[in-house]
Amino acid sequence: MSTSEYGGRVRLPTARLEGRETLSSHALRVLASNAHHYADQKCNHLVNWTAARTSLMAAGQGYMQPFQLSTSFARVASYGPIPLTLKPDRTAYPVRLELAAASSSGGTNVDFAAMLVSSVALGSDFVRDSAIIANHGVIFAGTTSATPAWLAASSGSTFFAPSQSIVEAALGARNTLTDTSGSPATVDTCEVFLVVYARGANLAVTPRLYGVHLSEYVGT
Amino acid sequence: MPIATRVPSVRRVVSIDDTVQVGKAVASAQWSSLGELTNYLRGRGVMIVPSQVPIVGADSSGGLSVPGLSTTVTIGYRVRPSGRAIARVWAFEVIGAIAAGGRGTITVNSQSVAVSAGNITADPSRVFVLVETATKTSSLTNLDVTMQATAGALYLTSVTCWELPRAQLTKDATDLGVDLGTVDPRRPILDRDYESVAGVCEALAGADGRRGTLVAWCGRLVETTSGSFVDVFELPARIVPPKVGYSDTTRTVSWSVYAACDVGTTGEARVVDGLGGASTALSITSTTGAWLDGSKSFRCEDISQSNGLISGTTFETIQLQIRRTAGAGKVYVTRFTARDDAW
Repeated sequence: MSTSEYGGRVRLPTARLEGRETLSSHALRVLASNAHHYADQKCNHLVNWTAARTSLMAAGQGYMQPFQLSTSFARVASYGPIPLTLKPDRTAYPVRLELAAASSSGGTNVDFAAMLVSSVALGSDFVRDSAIIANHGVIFAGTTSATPAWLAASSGSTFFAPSQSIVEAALGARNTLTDTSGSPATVDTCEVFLVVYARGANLAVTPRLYGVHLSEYVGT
Repeated sequence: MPIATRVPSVRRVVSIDDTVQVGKAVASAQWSSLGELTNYLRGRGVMIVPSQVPIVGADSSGGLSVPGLSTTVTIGYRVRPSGRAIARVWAFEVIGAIAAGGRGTITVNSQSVAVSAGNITADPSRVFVLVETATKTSSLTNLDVTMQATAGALYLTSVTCWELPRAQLTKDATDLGVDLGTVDPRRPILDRDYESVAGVCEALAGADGRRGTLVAWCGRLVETTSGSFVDVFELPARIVPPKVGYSDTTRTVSWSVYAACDVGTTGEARVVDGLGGASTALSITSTTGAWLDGSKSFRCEDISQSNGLISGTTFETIQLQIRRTAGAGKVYVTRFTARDDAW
């Protein structure tokens, strides 16, 4: 949902904004609307990966799989640190989280889950369902298909606002310069990691991860 | 003392509902908020490489331990920086060989860092590199990363890169930093670069809502001899290009592919959207590998929907396709990016 008055960029004649031209209150409304619209749109695709086709590779495979097979959720991959965009009230822009996956053995179920953490050390190797739910993560609907497909959520939502506790724990400062040859300075960032987990119905089946998408949206 | 041209760490909102009306003078508070929001828009930077999974490796024995791997592997991305950033954050996740793990280096922009990773079941090693750029550019830029194994073997399982936000902007023609002290209450209205109302207008005219890179893929060599277009990815990548104009339903996305072909062979590459619409095909003729650049219109974000998706349910997608057009050899691709870079 847009926070701008006009819901899109409104072009103004350059002459309206030059010196000695009267700048009306309406022009200010248009400028502010444009700035709000830019800020609405200026958010990121934080994670966006889809596996190349294994059948087109001379060697290896395009998908990811857990390094340790398990009937509990085992970590497949972690991504980050990735920078969250913050609203004026210091809450994060909501995100869309999508996973694509398949089972190595058609007919045997595999499950996937994912959650944001403020420190990758918090994304432990194995987690229980309750830990994912407690951390505002998403558990995806299991699949028995050997054909990759994007998964629906079975617990949590694939569109959600990162929890405020994670946002506050992820706030920090990085050292930088004021310009390319400037003085030392610091800049505030809010950096998180996305951790993806998978489990199989038994140890003979391998969960295969084929895609991950995490993007921000200004939301409501 | 506050920095005059600081970049806020969170976006600002200009309150206009009842306070800015025809016939009433605009208070400096509105200009002050707009100045802060303008500095935010110009100073926050863009995503350079959304996290992706290369799954490429390097073997210190040059393939004797892990067949097919060289002692070094190079990955690359074709991106368009924001033009104001002075530093990029690179993050890598690395795992070692199945039994022995590995050691080596990762080099980005002439900066090398040592890497040590345990065996494949150990916790992955994470490598963080902050690269300060010598110049600010918004030109299309090729970024390469090289990983060298000096013991055992290493695999890259995750790569991320983003521009570090600016702490403050400079009052020059590149940054167009707004001196926020000049829009404080009771300050005179000036027609002067980087200051007052004129400075805000000038900087906002050059601001944008760019999303930077929408998808970046670099991985193992993909090859085909097919004379018909074949999909490179198992599933199309999901993208949400921004909406720019009020009535826009589509957005032009730039894309680049790094492709090669065998001697005596030629090929083509193109992208296809979620409705099956294909871009103009680009010719693949280089036998050593070259970037090819194209663009295509895609459906954009629907800001009337609570999740921004098309009709609230549908992602726009992008699929890369390649084919052989002549000869008896193979056509290869290893790198692909799609960007929102033309505001």
